Amino acid sequence: MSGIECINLLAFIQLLVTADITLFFLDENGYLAKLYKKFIEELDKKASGTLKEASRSEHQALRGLVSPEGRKIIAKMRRYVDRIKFLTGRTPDYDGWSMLGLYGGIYGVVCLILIGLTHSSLDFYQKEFILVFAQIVLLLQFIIILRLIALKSQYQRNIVRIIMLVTGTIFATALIVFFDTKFDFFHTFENPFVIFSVLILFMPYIVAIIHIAFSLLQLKYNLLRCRLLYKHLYSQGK
Amino acid sequence: MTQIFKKIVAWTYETVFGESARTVCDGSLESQGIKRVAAGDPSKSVSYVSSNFLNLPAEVWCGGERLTLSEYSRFLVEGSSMVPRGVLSGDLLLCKSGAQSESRFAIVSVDKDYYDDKNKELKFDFKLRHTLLQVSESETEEALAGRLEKINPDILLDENKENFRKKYKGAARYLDDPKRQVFVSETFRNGHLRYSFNPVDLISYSALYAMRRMGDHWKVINLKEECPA
Repeated sequence: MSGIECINLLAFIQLLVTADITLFFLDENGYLAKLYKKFIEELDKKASGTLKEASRSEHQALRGLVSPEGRKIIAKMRRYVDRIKFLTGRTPDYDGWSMLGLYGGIYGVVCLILIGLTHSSLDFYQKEFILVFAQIVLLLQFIIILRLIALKSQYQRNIVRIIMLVTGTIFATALIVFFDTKFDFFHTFENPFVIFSVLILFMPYIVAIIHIAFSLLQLKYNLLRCRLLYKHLYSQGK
Repeated sequence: MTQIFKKIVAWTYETVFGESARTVCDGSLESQGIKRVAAGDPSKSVSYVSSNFLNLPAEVWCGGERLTLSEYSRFLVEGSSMVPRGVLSGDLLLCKSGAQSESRFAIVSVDKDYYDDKNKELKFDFKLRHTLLQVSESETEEALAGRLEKINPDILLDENKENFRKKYKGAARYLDDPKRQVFVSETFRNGHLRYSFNPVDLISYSALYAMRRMGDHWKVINLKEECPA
């Protein structure tokens, strides 16, 4: 790994710290929360025209203005309308995301410590950098955990789980390090391991992007099906 | 195959993340006399974004009507199962006790025996349902489906028919009890319609209005008017 790559890796870690803390402290006034709400509002705007058309057809159906075949089409439309309303009205799982950041951070940092401690091919200074920054990230992660404990809310179960996971991961790390010191095995799979660690570090972003893309695709699909059914209904002369 | 994949994903999520965490301590809710109602499965935790309930107004206006909050029982909605019917997670419901003919949004006490039998731990005492109709004495499945179809055409879809049939069979413990009247309601899982059968005597409250925080003010929705079915 070159110096530039190493600096990039450190930048990723810093991004992770920002993501973790921002995600955890997300509330209604948080920047990311506002951004997400804007996204939901945009979805809502995209859907409003189709929802109006569907609502008009449905009212006519309930008044008995459509044929039995038309009623079945209305039922299908209602299915898509319900789905569109759900996609544009659900509350995002902020807690899930913040926990994802926390777990991603802990795992990612442990992976990096592993790179620093084992017989990797990185030179001494690069390993030192990785170790120092990994420790800073770890410290920040623990501050988040302390805050979770301070909240004394229903997080407590999760905290036990976090402690169990961290302890387990540290034991596993120690075993791998021991194995590596004995057999000098680590350098053979170092690069895939670095990539894997970075992927874990980026997990909150990756999940957020996948979630947004998937929501948009779902909405587009449901809107399209709804419009097609609306056209079909009117082509039948109701 | 999809079901197996979904189960694997759900299991992994539960194992790694445990139960859904919650952003706020809700001790403030109790001090405000606000109870929680599950919009979804009452045996599952859900997460929501806190609205500031510490500064609840004493009165709100809804279409020219002045509502005094102290005259209503208040419930905080947790979950997204009523989103397709216009009630969102985080909404504050203003309710009157018992089944009210003006509203189809029922706050139903959870049947603890039912969940004990299923070996599920309850996270909520109440669940929110959108009522459709009351089952007549010894009414057959076909007759009931026919009546439902007149309310709205959802039951015409095969998947809904199947779900209705399954729920009708599952509700035998209520339907076979001549002392209990049963109502059919609807709820939504990830936006997909699910029917539900519950005894009328478990309806504790009916929601008449929903208050939704919009920045620094409250939007009040009249559920009596906005009820679609």
